[in-house]
Amino acid sequence: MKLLLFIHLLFFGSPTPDKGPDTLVSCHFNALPFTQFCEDIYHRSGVRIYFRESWVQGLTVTIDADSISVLSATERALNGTGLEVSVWNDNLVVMPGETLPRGLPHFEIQTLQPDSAVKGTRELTRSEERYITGRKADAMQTLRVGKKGLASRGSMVTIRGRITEQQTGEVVIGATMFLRETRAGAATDQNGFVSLVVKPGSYTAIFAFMGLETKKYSLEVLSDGDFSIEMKKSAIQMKEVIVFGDRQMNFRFKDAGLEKISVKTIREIPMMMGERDILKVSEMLPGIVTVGEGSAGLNVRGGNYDQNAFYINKIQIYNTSHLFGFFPAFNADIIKDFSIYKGHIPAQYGGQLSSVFNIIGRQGNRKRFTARGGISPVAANLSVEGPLKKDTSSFLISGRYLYSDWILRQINDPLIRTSNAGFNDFSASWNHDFRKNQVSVFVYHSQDEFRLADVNSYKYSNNGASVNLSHAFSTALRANFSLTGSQYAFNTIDQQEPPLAYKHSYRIGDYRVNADFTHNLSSKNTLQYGAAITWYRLNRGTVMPEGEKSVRLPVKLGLDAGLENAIYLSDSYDVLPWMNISGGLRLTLFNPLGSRTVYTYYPGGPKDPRYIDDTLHFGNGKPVKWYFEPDIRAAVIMRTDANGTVKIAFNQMHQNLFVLNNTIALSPNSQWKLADYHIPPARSNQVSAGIFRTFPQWGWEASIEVYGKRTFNYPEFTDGADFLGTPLVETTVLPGNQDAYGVEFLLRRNGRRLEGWLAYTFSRSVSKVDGDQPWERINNGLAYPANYDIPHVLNTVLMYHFSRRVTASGVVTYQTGRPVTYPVSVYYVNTIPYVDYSNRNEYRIPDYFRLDLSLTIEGNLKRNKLLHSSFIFSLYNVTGRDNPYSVYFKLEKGKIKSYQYSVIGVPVFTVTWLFKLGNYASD
Amino acid sequence: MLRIKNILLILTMLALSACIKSFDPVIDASAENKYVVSGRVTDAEGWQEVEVSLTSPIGSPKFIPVTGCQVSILDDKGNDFTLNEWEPGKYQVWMGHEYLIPGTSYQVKVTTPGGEELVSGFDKMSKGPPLDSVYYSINDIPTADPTINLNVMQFYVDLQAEGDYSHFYKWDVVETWEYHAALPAEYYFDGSHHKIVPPDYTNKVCWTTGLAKNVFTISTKSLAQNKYEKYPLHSIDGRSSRLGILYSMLVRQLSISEEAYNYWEKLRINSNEQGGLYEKQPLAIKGNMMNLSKPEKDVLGFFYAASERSHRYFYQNVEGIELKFSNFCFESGLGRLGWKEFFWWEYPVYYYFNEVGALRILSYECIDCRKIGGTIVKPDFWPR
Repeated sequence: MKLLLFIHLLFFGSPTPDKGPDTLVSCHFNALPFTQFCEDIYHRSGVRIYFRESWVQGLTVTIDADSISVLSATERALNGTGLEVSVWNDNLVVMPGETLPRGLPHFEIQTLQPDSAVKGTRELTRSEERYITGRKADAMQTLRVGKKGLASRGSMVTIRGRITEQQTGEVVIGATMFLRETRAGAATDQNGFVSLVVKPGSYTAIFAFMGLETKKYSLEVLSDGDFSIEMKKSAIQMKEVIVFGDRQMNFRFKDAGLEKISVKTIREIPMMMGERDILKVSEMLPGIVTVGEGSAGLNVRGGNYDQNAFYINKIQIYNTSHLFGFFPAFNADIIKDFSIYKGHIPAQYGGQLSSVFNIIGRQGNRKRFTARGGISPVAANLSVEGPLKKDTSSFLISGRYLYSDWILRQINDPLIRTSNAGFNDFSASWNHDFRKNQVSVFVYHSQDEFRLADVNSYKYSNNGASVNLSHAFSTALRANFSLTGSQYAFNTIDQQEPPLAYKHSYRIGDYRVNADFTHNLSSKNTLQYGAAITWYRLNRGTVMPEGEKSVRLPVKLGLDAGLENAIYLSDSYDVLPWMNISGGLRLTLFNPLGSRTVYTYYPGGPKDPRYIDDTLHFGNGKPVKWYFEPDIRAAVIMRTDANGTVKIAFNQMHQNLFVLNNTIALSPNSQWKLADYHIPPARSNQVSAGIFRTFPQWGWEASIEVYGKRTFNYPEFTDGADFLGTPLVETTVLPGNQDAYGVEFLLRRNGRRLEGWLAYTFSRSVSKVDGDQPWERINNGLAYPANYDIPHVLNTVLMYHFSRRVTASGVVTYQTGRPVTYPVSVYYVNTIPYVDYSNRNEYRIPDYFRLDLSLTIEGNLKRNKLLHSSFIFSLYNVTGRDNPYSVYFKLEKGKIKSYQYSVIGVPVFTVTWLFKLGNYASD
Repeated sequence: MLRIKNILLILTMLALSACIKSFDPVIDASAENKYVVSGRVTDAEGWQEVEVSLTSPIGSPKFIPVTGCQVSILDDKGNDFTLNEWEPGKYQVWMGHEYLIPGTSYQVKVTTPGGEELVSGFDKMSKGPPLDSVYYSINDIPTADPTINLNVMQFYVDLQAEGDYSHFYKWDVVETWEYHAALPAEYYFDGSHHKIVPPDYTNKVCWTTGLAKNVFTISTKSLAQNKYEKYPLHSIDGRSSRLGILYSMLVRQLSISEEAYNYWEKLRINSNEQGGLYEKQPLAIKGNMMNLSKPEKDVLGFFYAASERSHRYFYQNVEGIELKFSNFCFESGLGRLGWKEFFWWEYPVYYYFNEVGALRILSYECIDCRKIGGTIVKPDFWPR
C-alpha cells in the first residue's frame, strides 16, 4: 500500500462532538477549492480528510444540499476526478482509483441488517454498519432528513430529495422512491426532485430507475428537510429495456396507459439506415400503429395522426420527421426520457385526442466535457456537452446533417441526378441550478429540403424555443413555469401535372405560457394544478399556379388565429394501500380570433359558396366564437397481489387543431387548421381497462388492455374535398363520429440473455357521417372504416446478448393493409367519361410484412480510453418483400393507371459507426 | 460491394420518393362490370334518348354499348313508348307535345339481351322558366409569372324562376367552334412528286362540337327567392382555338327534380376540373336505376325528366382576349439523305415552298384539320 501520503491536517478550534463521516452537514459551496472544503468539513464535523495536495490541484467543489453526509459530500466533490474516498477510523482517506478494504467479509447478514422500524435497538453509526455489512449489495446506509425536535409529535412532514446520476451529475427523471413500510411512493420530476409526505420516523427507502443500480437506504425522518441521492449506472446494462409503464405499477407510474422507452432500446433495435428512431420503436408497442414505412404519422388507438401531441422540452413539434418519415426529427442522443400517454392522459395535457408523446431532452454532463456522434453513409451527427460551472450549470449542443447528394450525383438517371434531398437539425440546451430554482433553456431547429428534378420540391422547417423555470416554494410545493414558442412552415412546389402545377407556402405558430404546480398534501395525496395559455397563429398561404402551363387559379387560403386558455386540477390519492385513484378536471376556453371574414350560409342549405347568405366581419383579436371545453380524467389503479395490477381509466379530451389532408399519410405539406366559426372542436371519451402481471421467476411480463373510444365532431372530408381549391374549409369538411375499440396484448421478457417482446393489437376505427340532409352524409350515411383502420398488428422484437459487447436482434412486423377507395371502372354518360369509385374505404391494400435483423458490436470494455466506438450492422427487410405503402391512380393520356408505391422493396444493408468520448459505460 | 450498391439503390428510391410500379388492384368483377343506363325526357318535342352501356375497366376506358336491349319509357298515365336502337347502345323515340307535360312522371325500363330487367324510379317533370340572360366578362387571372396575367372569357347565366317553377337546375353547355388547318394540300411525295391543282382545301376547315365537361347545377331551395344571379358557367381563353374564328355555344337550362339534382351535384363534385385525380376525396355515386332481376347488382346512371329551355350564342373577335393557340402544324427542312429518309409507310409526305421558296416538310396537322379532332361537316346552324 502506497502510504506516502502527504497528510494535510488542519486544526482550527475543537471539532464538534458529533463526529464521523456520517455526520450530516449542510453544504452550500460554490467553486470552493478542495482544501478549503476539507477545512470546512473538519470544522463542522471533526472529520479529517487525508489526501496528497498534488492530486487535488485546481479541484473545486460545488455542492448545494441541506442535509448531506460528510462522506457523500466528499464523494460528490471527487466525482469524475478518478479519486476515491475511503473511511478510515472515522476519518476519510482520498486515493486515486482505489479504496481501502472495508474490513472482513461478513456472513451474518439477516440478523445484523438494521430494521429501523424496530425501536429500541442501539443505533449503529453508518460506518459501523458499513464495517459490519461490508460491501454486500443489500447493505443499507442511513439517510437522515431534517433536524431533531423541529417536528411536533404525530404531525406529518414533507421530505424532498434530489436524485442525480453519479457519473454525469445529471438529474434522473422518473426515478422512483418507495417506502417499504407505508407502501408510499413517488417519482422524480423533470428536475430530479421527489417529495413525500410522511410521519417522522424510520423507514426503508428504495430508489430505483431503469439502467441504474437500485439503492436502499434506511431513512430517518426527523422533520421537513431535503436530501440528495446519487445513483450509479448498473453494471449489467442489459436491464435497460423498455419499461412498460406498468412494471412496478403499484407505486411507480400512476398513469394508466403510459409507456416509456429507453434510449438503449432504441439503439439495439434494427433500424432503417441505422438511424435510431424513437417513433419507429414506439410503433412496435401495442396500440401504436403507422400506416406504412416512410410515413411520419402514428395512429394511436384508432385515432388519426393529427390526434397526437409531440412535445420536446415542452415545445410542440408539428412535423416529427425528416424526409417523409425516414429519419426522426430529433437526434436520439439528446433524448433523456420519452413517455407516451394513450389511456389516461393527465389533466396537465390537453389539445390532442389520442395521445401525448413527451420527450425530455438530456441536460449536458455536469462533470466534464464530452462528445458523441455517429456516421452513416448518408448522414452524420455530433453532440457536445459539458459543464459551464461544475455541478451547477451545463450545456448540450447537438446537430445532424444529411449529405446524400454526392450519391445521387453518381446515378445515371437524369431525374435522380438533378434531384436532391437533405436535412439538418440543431438543438442547444443550457441549464443552471440556483439555490431554489432551476432554469433551463432549449432551442430547436430542423430543416428539410427535397427536390425531385423539376417535378416536386418540398422545403419545411420546425423552429422552437423554450424557457423553463422550476421553483420550490417549500418541500411540499413545487412549481414549474415555462414559456415556449414553436413554428412550422413548409413550401411546396408541385409540377407533377403541368396544367395543375402550383406552389404553396404555409406557416403555423404556437406560443405558450404554462404554470404547473405540484403539491404534496399528504403521504397519500398529491395535488397538481396549473394554467396554460396558447396562442396559435396560422398563415395558410396562397396556392399559386406554377409554370406557364398551369391553368390553376390562385387561391388565398387566409389567416387563422386562436387563443386557448386552460386551467386544470388533478389529484392522485391512495385510498387504500392497494388502490390509487386519480381524478382531474381540465377546463379550456377556446376562441378563434379575428381579424376574419366569415360567410354564413342559408339555413337548411349546404355549406357551399353558391349559397352564401351573409358575411360577418370580425376585427383584429376579436373572438369569432366561444368554445367551452371541460375535460374529465379519471383512473383507478388496484394492486391485486405482489405481481399484478388492474387499471381502469376514463379519459375525455378536446381538440381544436386539425390536419387537412385526405391523403393517407402525414405529408410535410399537411395543413393544420383551427376550429372556427363553422367547424367545432372535436371531443372524445375513452374508457380503458387493463390487467398487468409479472412473472418474476421467468422474467416475463404480460398485459392485456381493452379500450373503447368515441369521438364526436371530428372533421371528416366531404366527397370531393379539395383543400387547395378553396379557403372555405367548412365547405370541405363535415363533423363526423368515430368509434374506435380494440384489445392490446403484450408479452415481454426482460433482463435475460434472450429478451424482447411480442405485441399484438386488434383495433378498429369506424367513421360515420350521417346528417339529416343528403349533403351532410358521407358514404350515404353508412359507417365506413377510417383511413387508418388497421385491425391486426403483430410486432415481435427479439434481442440476444452474446456478451456485453455483442447483441443480435430481430424484428418481425405484420399488419393488415390499410383501407382505400378504389376507382373501379369508367363509364360514359353523354360522351363524358365518369369514374365509378368503390364505397369509401371499401378495399384494402395488401398486407404488410417485414423482417429486419441487426448486430450491434460495442468496442472494448476498457475503463480508461478516449473514445468508445460501436458498430451497428443492420439488414432491413430481409425477405425483400415489396410492401405497398400506398396505391394511387393517375390519369395518363385519358386512362387511369394504377400504381403501387412501395418504399423499400429490397433488403437494405447499412453499417453505422457510433462513437462517444469515454468508455462503454460513460454517458 | 453489395453494401454500396444497396445504399445507392435506397437513395435512388428516396429520391424517386420511393419505388413506384404499376399495380393491379383486385377489384370484384361485379363491381367492374355494371350496367349504365342514362337518359332523359325533356318537354321539347322530339327525340328522347336513352343510352345503355357497360362500365369499362379503368385501364382501358371505352364506351361499351349494350346492343339489342328492349327499351321503353313509361309515364304515370299508362303510356308506353318503345325506343329503337339507332346507334349501338343508343335508343330513341319521338314523343309528341301531348305526352310531354310538366307534372308527368316518367320511368325507363330496359330488358337486356341476357334477360335482366333494369328500371329507373319515376322522375317527375318539373316546370322550368325561360332561359334568362347569358353573358360573359373578361377576367384577369394572374399566372405563375407575376408580370403576366391571363385574360379569360368567363360565362355566366342568370336564373329567374320566381313563380311555381322548380328549385333545381342543371345547365348543359354544348360548344362548337370552327378552326382551320394551316395550309391546303398542294405538294406531296409518295415515291414520286405530285402537285394538286388547284390546291385541295377539303380538309382545311373543321368544326369541333362537344359538351362542356363541367356539370353546372344549382339549388335555390334554401335561398330566399327562386332566382340566382351570375351563376358561373365555363370559361375559355386564348390558349385554345375556340375563339380563333367563330365560337358558338348552346346553353340548355334543365329544370329537374330534387333527386336528379342530388345525383348531378355528386357528379359535379366528382368531375370538377381543378385538382388532380386523388387530390380530392372520391365518392361512389348511386343513381336511380336498379336491377329487378338481380337486385344485388348495382346499376349506374340516372334517368330523369326535365323542362328544357335553350338558346344558341355566337362569339367572335372577343375584345380583351389575346389569341395564342397552336395550330399544331410543324414544319421542317429536308434532311441530309433527302427523300430517302422517308419510308413507304410514311407516304404521302406533304410539303410546300415557303415565302423565300425553300422546301418545307409538313406534319399532317398542317393540311388536315381532322387530325386535331374535328369534323369537316359543317353544322347546319353555322351562319357562314
